[in-house]
Amino acid sequence: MNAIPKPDLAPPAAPDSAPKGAPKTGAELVVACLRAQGVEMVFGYPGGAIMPLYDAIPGSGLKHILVRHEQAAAFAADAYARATGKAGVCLATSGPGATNLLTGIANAFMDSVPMIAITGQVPSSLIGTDAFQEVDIFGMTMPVVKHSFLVRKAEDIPDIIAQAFAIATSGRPGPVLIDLPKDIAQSPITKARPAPRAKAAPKPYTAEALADAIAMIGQAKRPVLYVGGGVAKAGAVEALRRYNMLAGIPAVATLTGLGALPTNSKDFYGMLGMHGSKAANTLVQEADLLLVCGARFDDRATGKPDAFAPHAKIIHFDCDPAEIGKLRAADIAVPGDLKAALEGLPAHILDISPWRERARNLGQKHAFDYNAPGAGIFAPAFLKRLSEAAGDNFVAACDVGQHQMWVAQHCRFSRPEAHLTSAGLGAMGYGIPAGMGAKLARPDDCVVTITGDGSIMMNIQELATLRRYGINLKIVLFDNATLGLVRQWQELFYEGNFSEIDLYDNPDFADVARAFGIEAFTVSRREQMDGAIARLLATTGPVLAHVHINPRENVWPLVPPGKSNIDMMEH
Amino acid sequence: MNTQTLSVELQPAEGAVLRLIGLVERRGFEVRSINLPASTGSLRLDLGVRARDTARTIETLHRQIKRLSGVCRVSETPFTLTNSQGGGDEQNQHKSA
Ligand SMILES: Cc1ncc(C[n+]2csc(CCOP(=O)(O)OP(=O)(O)O)c2C)c(N)n1
Repeated sequence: MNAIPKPDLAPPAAPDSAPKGAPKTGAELVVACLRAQGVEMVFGYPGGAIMPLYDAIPGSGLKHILVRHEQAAAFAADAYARATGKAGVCLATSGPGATNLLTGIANAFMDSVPMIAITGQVPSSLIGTDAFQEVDIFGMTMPVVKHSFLVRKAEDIPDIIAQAFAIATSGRPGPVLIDLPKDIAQSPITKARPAPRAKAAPKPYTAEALADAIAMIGQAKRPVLYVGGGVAKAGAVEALRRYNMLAGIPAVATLTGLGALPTNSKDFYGMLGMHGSKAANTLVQEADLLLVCGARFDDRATGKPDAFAPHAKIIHFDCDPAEIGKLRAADIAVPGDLKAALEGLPAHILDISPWRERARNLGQKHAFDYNAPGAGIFAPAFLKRLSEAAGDNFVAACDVGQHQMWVAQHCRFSRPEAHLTSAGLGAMGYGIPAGMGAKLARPDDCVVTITGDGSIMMNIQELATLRRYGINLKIVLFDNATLGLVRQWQELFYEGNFSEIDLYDNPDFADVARAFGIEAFTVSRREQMDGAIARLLATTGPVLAHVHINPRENVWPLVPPGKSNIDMMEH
Repeated sequence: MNTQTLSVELQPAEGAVLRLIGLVERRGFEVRSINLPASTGSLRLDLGVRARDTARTIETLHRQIKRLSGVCRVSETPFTLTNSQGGGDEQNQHKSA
């Protein structure tokens, strides 16, 4: 689908279409600095305090995507960053615009995503006076940013922007806030110029630590590779794959580590943790050594911490020294450059055949079963088939709930960028804006948002953005007419006391999509599944498949809260 | 639980002190004392901190402070700023407990 042609809202143009020269205001300097950092696209929403910046955007070469809620700007910028490895940029005005960004900033923080959030602020002289649309966004975001700046002088802009990008993208990435008072954006500037970009190289690991690690690996009889999201962030995917292929160590991944090893690779046993595979959790339970790569012992991954990998020594590789020993002491810590450290491991097959055999048996014994009873569509089977049909170009942008866990369990991923998920924050509403950001970043990929009937309503207004820019996102909406994951917990752990999870009166989502000008169709019977997948993949414009599923379907297996990963319920 | 002391050298940027103290509180410690001597260049803050539960270690807090932008130096023994140049944090030991 093509973008909607834009009506011309401008008054008759002044005869000044010459390319802009040197920046003349703080706002123009911000835009020039963003361009100098290589920024091509920003996501945002205008308003009073940020109007000077919006005034500087037309004709600047910066492509601005107008979202319909600032939260979506932050989520889209986050996914744009995950898909490209570059910092994503979002803009919002002061007050409500800034607070609407907050969830998205927290999301980027929890998943270590490089992002620059620029907020307008009331004029400097009004800061601290409870001015109209004044909030202390600098203070409010402090717990969820890697760093933040409040711009006090226009001539500081080049340095602040250069620092912001360097901080956001270096080491363990994260979001950086730049709060820009209106008077600073408006103030004339004379000499300031964009500063060069500067990303710090990763800190080297220490050779002694690596030597100790190599010796310990040599002693292990039952080693397991525990792969986290830090592997892809460190650019260490190839190094990990090569090592894993040659050493032949059984591997498991966290939610953000999926795709670092291809789903189908022979020593990969899936996700560990609460909704992980039984094979992955059993392997970790029996391991005598965990090689932890870019992971942080998140509670969703470990279950009850003192029962996690009880027999294992720990070698912890991470670029962030503050993660080492935070939740589980490391026997050997290798902080620093993960890629170089993995490349430094001797890549020869380990003498662990009985363990490999054990892993293979576990993998076969606990393979997922796709033969569900009934005549309805079984979401796990749909997802598996969809991801296989889409192939190596497949990118899943998930919302949060049962469908998110099914994506993690059942989709085939051939690279880490193929799986965009709100892992640390678990923010419903991520799916559509994330799909949007990813598709804009990688127009040739087959980007599919997988959402639920609860989650889609949290950012459904972005269908208008898809339509406006002709963003060819595919959306699969699994409609179980409930808040499924909450319903599952109420069924299993709250004695079936179903409280406020029933969404029986949802609108007809296909009609809603059509009202936004998006093609949509509805399916519910199993024999419609292949046709639905084929239609999704064949449609060139944005399209929504509304898929009715059994409201009582649960995600299996599951580690009950407070239990060890080995105590998985399987149905 | 005992009160422990951390000396932190940081750049005097907007929010720097708030960022530091906020981190200490959020990561499971109480701030029991603060000393911030007047200075012209970088700031030195001595913080008396106490863990709110036994799972929190000063080593982790130390590293979390160390990774803040604008923090130049963290030490569990007080230092003076005059000879702080080139001191830096002791390298993160590669063997932890
Ligand atoms: C913003 C936000 N609010 C609440 C939750 C808690 N929550 C987690 S999953 C879930 C239900 C999601 O329902 P739906 O999107 O329909 O997905 P399903 O579980 O049915 O697949 C809720 C309410 C959350 N994760 N995020």
